[in-house]
Amino acid sequence: MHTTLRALTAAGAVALLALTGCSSSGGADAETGGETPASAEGWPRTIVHDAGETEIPDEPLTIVSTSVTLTGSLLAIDAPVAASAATGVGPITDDQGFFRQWADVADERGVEVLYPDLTLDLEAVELAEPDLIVGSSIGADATAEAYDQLSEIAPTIMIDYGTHDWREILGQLGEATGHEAEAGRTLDDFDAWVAEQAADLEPVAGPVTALSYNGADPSMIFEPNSSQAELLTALGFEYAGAPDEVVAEHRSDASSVTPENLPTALGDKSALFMVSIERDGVDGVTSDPLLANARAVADDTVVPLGATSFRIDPYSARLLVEAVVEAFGSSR
Amino acid sequence: MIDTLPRRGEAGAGARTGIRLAAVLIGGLVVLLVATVLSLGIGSHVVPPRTVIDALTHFDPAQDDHLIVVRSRIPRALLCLVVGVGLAVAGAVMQALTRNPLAEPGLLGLNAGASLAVVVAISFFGVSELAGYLWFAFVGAAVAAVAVYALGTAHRSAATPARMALAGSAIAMAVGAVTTSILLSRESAYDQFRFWAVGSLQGRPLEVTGAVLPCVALGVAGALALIRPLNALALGDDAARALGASAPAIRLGGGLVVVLLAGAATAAAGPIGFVGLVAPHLVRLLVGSDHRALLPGTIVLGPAILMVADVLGRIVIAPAELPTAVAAALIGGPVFVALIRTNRRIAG
Repeated sequence: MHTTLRALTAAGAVALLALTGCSSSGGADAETGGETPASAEGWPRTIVHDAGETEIPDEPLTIVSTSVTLTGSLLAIDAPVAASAATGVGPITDDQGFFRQWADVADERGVEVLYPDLTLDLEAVELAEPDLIVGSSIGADATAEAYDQLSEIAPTIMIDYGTHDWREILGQLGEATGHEAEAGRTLDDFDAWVAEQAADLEPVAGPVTALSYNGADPSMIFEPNSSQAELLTALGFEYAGAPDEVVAEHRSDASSVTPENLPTALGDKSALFMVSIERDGVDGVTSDPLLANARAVADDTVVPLGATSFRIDPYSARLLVEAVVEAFGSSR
Repeated sequence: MIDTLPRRGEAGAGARTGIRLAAVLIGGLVVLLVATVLSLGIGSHVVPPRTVIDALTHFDPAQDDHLIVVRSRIPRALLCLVVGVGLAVAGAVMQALTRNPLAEPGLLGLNAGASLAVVVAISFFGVSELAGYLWFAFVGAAVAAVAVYALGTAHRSAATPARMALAGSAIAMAVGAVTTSILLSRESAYDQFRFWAVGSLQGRPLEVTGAVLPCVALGVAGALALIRPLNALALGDDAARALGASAPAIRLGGGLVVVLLAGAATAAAGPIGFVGLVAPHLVRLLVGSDHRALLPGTIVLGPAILMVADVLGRIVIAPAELPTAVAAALIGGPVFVALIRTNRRIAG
């Protein structure tokens, strides 16, 4: 049964590749604005990634993703993903542990669960007979420690999604999978769509901030270089992160701020965008006694971005923009 | 009634113990008072001393600094007092009941039971607020303690210190495995759970303190009522029986006291170690093992140690903060090692 499914999936992937193959080899220049990756000319190609360099002999037809975070980006560029690791079932996933923002797409394309609960299963990876393995080197779905074992099964690349934003990741995956054209087209389409949405928006005056509110524990305020901040800026908002003097710890794209310093960090922001894995966070902020004087609380401009906004991929980016449009669009 | 105070030369020994207890109580209260004042003035956000006084005397809710002092630091200090008393007295009673100098609330599986109950509350009942965890944690701690006692006394065995410690370890491991398996399958529960599990006094509203205060007060009253039986038990089960005390009855009463104290403290602040271990040891070193001196000293020194740890946790890595449990462990660890070395010298 599984073999049949895999065969069907592989056949589907081949068909998909046949449909997209021309554009990926011939149309790369046009679609990506002339920026053809050095190794995009043919196969084999060598991909430089977070765990080293990997030679990929032929365009992959069966890809498995050991990173549930990166699977969305692979799907967005029409890469032939046969199976993906799944995380624990919860509010941000469907009932098999795939992220909600792309679970429907995965279902349509027959993507199987490689293994559940982010518990790496090398045997399952081997049984999937991949010709490319995509994994992450950071986060709960990191499989960098098993890079050597994975590389024995198939060419493997590791991506650090903490230091590269979703646009860069899309380009990197496009190059590794031979889907550069789709990656470029996905970004171009997205940018055009965001520009349309921005035209319909009425952003509040003054700086805004996106944060993951953690109640009694330090909250994370997203830095201006974060994907969340870049999306808000693209929509016309003036974005400001946390002032340096109140930051307890700087991370790659966010800074932690203790509850006592949150009033200083958030007090003058004209809107707060709640990025949260579990809850939308709005109630927490509006009922926090220390934030009673915050401008956004008084102005009722604390906006939930939804549970999918924590990790940005092409699908969650779209959901984030839609949440902002719902709050500040002229037709709201 | 049972009286285990020294009979021979007791006038001199009693006077010395009395003086030492007075010194511990006065010294402990001074440390507690200073640490409490500092806890109102010190935090990851700098509030000038004059503003702290203004906040206390002329509270203005429109000023953020006033909100920090009145809405955050005062509730935190009050909770620290309650949790410190609860953990320290629970530790002293547990050490007496099990005659195990390493006994503390974690030993009888209380932390493990409370943790499992909180995970169940989050995962299966959708509880997301601290006030909601409170009663789950309390019940979890109590059930774990009963399970440990039942296992330790299975087949009509006596609840010896070794049996209770082994039963506690076994239950804690089994319960911990269940907790981990639930967390592994529910990533979102883990995100909520870790905020409680880290052990902190930050951000707990006054209602939390109000909810656990009666339990801690009742527990302390129970511990004080058990002073003489605990002294008798310290001599061993046979000696206690010879003195007319029932060891099982003392253990049952003491167990209820421990569940009340440690269950309430853990439910309110999450698992915080070392206070329940270090405070009784420190007091015992200063005033001896007689519970008439040990328990009052522990009641004062427990919150003093926790308050000092909490304040230091806000200073050492400012503007970040160490969670209270981490600060307590960092301070409690070296203090405990020093105590052991001191005891060795005394013994040697």
